Amino acid sequence: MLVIHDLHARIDGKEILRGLSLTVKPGEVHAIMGPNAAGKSTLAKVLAGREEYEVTKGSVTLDGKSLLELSPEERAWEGVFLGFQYPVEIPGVTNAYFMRSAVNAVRKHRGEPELDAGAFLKLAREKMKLVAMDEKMLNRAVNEGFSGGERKRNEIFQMAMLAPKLAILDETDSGLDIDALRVVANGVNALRSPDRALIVITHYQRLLDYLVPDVTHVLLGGRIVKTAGKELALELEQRGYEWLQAGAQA
Amino acid sequence: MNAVAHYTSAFAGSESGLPGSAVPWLVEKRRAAMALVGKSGFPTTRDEAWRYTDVAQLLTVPFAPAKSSAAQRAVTLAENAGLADAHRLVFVDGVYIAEASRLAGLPEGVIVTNLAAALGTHPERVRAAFGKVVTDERHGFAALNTAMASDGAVVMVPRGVHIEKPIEVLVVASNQVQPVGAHLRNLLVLEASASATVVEHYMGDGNAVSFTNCVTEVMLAENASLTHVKAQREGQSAFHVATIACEQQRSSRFYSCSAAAGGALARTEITSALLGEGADAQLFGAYVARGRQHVDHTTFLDHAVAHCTSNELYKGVMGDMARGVFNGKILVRKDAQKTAAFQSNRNILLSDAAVIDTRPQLEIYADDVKCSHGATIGRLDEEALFYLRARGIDRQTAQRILTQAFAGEVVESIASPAIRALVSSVVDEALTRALHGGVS
Repeated sequence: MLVIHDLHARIDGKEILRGLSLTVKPGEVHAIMGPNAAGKSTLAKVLAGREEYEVTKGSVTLDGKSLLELSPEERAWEGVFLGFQYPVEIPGVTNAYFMRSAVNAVRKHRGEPELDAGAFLKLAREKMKLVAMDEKMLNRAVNEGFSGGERKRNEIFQMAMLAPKLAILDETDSGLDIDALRVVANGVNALRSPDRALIVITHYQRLLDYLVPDVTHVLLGGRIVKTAGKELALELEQRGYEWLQAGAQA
Repeated sequence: MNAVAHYTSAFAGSESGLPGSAVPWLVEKRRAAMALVGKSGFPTTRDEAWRYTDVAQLLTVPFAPAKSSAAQRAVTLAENAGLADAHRLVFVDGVYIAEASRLAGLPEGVIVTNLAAALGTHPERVRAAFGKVVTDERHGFAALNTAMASDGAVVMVPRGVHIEKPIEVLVVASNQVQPVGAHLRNLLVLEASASATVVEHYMGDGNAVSFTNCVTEVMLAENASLTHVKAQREGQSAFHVATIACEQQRSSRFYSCSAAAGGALARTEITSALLGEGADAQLFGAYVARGRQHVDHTTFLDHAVAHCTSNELYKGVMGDMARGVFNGKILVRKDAQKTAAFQSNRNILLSDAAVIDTRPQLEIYADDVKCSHGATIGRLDEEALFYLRARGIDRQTAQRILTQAFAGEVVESIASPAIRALVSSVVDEALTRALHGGVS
């Protein structure tokens, strides 16, 4: 489904991704772990199309279609979803208006009819249950005054609404207490499906107790330096990343 | 011919046809005003209140009163525009259009009519209000308005009476070949504990060069309450100068919201003198400009006595090479202890060539007051833009959503859903045009 080959990307002249390759098949959950400044969030943003990052080399394809030339919205239409590490507050725009605009934009590009207010509300109610979100959140401004947990639930709610092919969750566990973590992880688990791929970027093994990956990668120095099964996360938790540094210098 | 000479001659030519030409005090007042224009001329950028708005171009056009009767097209436009459920006075090119107006069902004792009619039916009431809040010395356009006013709206609400429905003053600039100048004088007088809502709605039929110069004088007696909304959406070649001034007695409330979206040059001056304790002024404004549009809001709040409150929020979005101006002053006089006055001006520039001049000013002579002011100028939040786009909302729509939300804070201050919808549509249409980068 997703094939990243030899990806190089930089921001402000500084190279962050340095030859990253990764293949994710439909139905798989891949965890990407790594220390600070390894390039984890850069990978997420580059995949979603953040324009500040310059891709200098390499390719990214989703079901054979190159993503790198596409704008962020076009990638969303193709089925890419980024769960933000720091979801943005948007005063004056309600969650409902935001999500309805988004869902209908995506539906339009899939050749599906737009949802009217009633149909949207019905769908939204159903999806909010996945992350135990209060319906009142629909009428609040996007993320404004939301707690850390509410923001992350809101991200997973959006993912459920948009039904992406590929979801990249960027440190969805950061800022969550254990209860919120469980709720969010359960929500994501409910969204696992044979035709959907998930990339879970995280610092800690904790999330992976609930959201068990098929494959675990270590990202270090802008490239994947180790790939293994779910047991790798536990090993990293015990040993840290230093023992892998040597491989990253190569 | 320079502007003063032009208007002096235009006045001489039209004086006998103006309303009140048989009313001695008004004839005298008009002549004195014209003489003042002759002596003092029009404001320039050397005047503090006009520092960022140059009217030189406006003064080069020989605007004259409409010669032909109002075009049916403009009348039809007026009939189909505006608020559905409102009393209404319609003016096309400065001429009152009775058949498009709706004045039935007003409470007893209320006067809602056009100035020309009021001069016949209530001459003393008009005399007691005309020129009392806006004096001819204020600036050349106010004096010119006194001299040339062809008509206007008169709203007088007796003690304790509440007018339920809004009163809409719909002013249309039609698509005339000759550049038409329309000078309207509105008098809004609310007696003690009276309340009303007045909507001044300015629109244009087509893109003819036009000039609307209107003066609105507001007198609010003790505990009176006026909601005043101005929606300005004239064509791209329109010049618009509005002077709205209020005098507030004890515990009166003045709510003003001004949405400016049209015209080549639009300047709206809104002032209030808080003369009685407990008076409250709430001023809101949203302005959107694109192309080479110039839009100015100049405000002045005069806290003359103690225990008054005021709040101002003006928000602007400027695209292309447009220029916005916010020139807002709050004066707190020596006796105005316990004043609470807040002023905020926030702007978003959509392009590198767009300009905003913002000048919030506080002048405080009392020592026990709570006052603050502030101004911001920024761009659309790139993080927020990316967030929306990453969810599949295209760039232009995302920009529209964010700018609408930005201006929404002003629009949401309007209590009436119908009026809010009107102002919202004026602002949203302008934002859509500004984001498409249309150059006028």
